[in-house]
Amino acid sequence: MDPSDKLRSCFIETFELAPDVDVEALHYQGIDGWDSVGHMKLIAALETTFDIIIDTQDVLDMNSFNMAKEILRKHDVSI
Amino acid sequence: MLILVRVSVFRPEYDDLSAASPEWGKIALLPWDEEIFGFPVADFQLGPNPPQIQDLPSFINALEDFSARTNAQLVSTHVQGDDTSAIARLVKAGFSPVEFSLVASLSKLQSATLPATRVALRKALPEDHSSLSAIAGTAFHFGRYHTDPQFPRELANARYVHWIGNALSGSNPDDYVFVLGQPGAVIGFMNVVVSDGRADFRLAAIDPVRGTSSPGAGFLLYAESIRAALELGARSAITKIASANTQVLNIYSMLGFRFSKPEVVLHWHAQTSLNLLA
Repeated sequence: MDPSDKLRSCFIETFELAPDVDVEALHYQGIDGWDSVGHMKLIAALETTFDIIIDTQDVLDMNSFNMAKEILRKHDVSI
Repeated sequence: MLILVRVSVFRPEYDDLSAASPEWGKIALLPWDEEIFGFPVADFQLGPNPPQIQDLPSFINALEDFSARTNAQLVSTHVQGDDTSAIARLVKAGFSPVEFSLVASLSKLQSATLPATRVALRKALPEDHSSLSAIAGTAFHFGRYHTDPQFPRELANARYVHWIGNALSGSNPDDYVFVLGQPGAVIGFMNVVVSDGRADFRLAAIDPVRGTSSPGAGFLLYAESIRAALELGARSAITKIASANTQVLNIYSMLGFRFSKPEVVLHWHAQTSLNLLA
């Protein structure tokens, strides 16, 4: 699975979304599951999947799927 | 022997609502709230034999007499969430349910499911006071005054501004205000009282603007508040939470809290009130 698919999979599995969901449009509090608790589950999924530790400021800044991509790029993930 | 008695002018003094039927319950004006609102409000505590259906005309008269005598514009009361009979009678007497709440507790705080530390909370500094007051005045949607559609929102907000000001005053050494974010960029706060090994999480808020753009801030605030309480020696924790506040319920659930004591809060409004909304 390439990194883009892994990222997409993290969002779909964490928030229990349909496989064909438009992940690019996802943003914080835009769907039921993406609240404060869901966000920390997403962070844990990303850290496990990509074997990284996300800085606190990035945790607080990651308010969309596209922002998640940018943060992963900072960790040298080719995405 | 000299006995010193500390008398607080803000301590409610309960008295029988009805001299003829003292078993109905006791009522008191709430001086702390009156000072903030600028008009009297009261609290009624149901007695061992609360008014039954046949008592309701007399009960309503007693409430109206109390209101006329004291100028109380609002009377609050609370009953167990499963006591639907009492709730129905209170509604017939003119009360309206305004809030449903639960007690969340954790008997062994050290067993809380805490994530790894990402950000440490800090104790509030004098330079935080204006930020904290601004958050307290804008962030809340729950609490019985906020959820009473007849109660002016600005007065409900003022009560929490007063609350946080009181917590920051240092008058109670067990009262702590923990802050998430740096001075000038405060994201949220938690007011907790730690006493006899128990942490009572009383008031928490996330800045409505910064909170929306800071995902996870709510969870971090609650999780790190528990860690801070542990460091202060707390062994158990308790809080009261509106059952409609599902985001925070989910946070407490994830941290290992259990829920109990469902309660309904009801408000009775003076019909001629000029201070309440129509």
